[in-house]
Amino acid sequence: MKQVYEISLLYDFYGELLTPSQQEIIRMYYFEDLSLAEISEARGGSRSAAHDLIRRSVEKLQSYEERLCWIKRFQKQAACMERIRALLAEAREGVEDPEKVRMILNRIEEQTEKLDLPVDERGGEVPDGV
Amino acid sequence: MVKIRLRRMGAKGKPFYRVIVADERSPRNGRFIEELGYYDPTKEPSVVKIDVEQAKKWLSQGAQPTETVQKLLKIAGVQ
Repeated sequence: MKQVYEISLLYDFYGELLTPSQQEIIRMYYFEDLSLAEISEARGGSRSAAHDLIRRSVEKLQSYEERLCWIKRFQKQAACMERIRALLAEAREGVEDPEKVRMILNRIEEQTEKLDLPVDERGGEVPDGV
Repeated sequence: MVKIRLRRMGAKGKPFYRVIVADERSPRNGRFIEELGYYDPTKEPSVVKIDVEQAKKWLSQGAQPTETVQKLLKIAGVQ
C-alpha cells in the first residue's frame, strides 16, 4: 500500500519529466488501479511490455528523487510548518504569560532555522567550477 | 464483471484513494457504481475506512477486488 503512495508523490513531483506514454501508464497502473491485462488491452502491446514500461518509468522517477530530493525537502518543510502552527496555537493560549510566549518564540525560531539546513550531506557542497 | 478498485484523488503532494465499485468494461470513463470508502496514507498512521457491510455484499455478488484493494479489505477486516 505504501508503494502506491510513494509512486503518487514521485509522480506529483517529477511526472512532467516523463514522456507522455510513461505518464499515461503510471496513471493507469497506480491511479486507476488497472491490471497489466487491462492496460495492455487499452494501449495495445503485451503484458510484459506494459510491465517493463511501468518498471522503467518508476526507476526514472526514483532516480530524480535520489538526485534532487524534492520530496524529502517537501516533507521536512511540511513537518516544520506543522510544528510551527502548533507552537503558534500554544502562544495564543499563553498570551498572558510573556515568559512562556518568549520561550515559544525561541522554539519557532529553531524550527525556521531547521528549514534552512540542507536535506542531505551533499546539499551543503558546491561542486568544483560552479 | 464488476470490479472493486482504488482511484486516486486529492491535490498534488496530497493524494488519497477512493475504493470504488465499477464496471470492468468501462474502467476509464470515470463512472462508478458505488463508493465503498477511502484510504488516506497522508495521515500518520494511514487511515483505511471501508463500509464493511457493503463490501461484503458486493463480494458475495461476485465483484472482483484488485490486489491493492484486497490488501485494504483485509486491513478493514472484510476478508
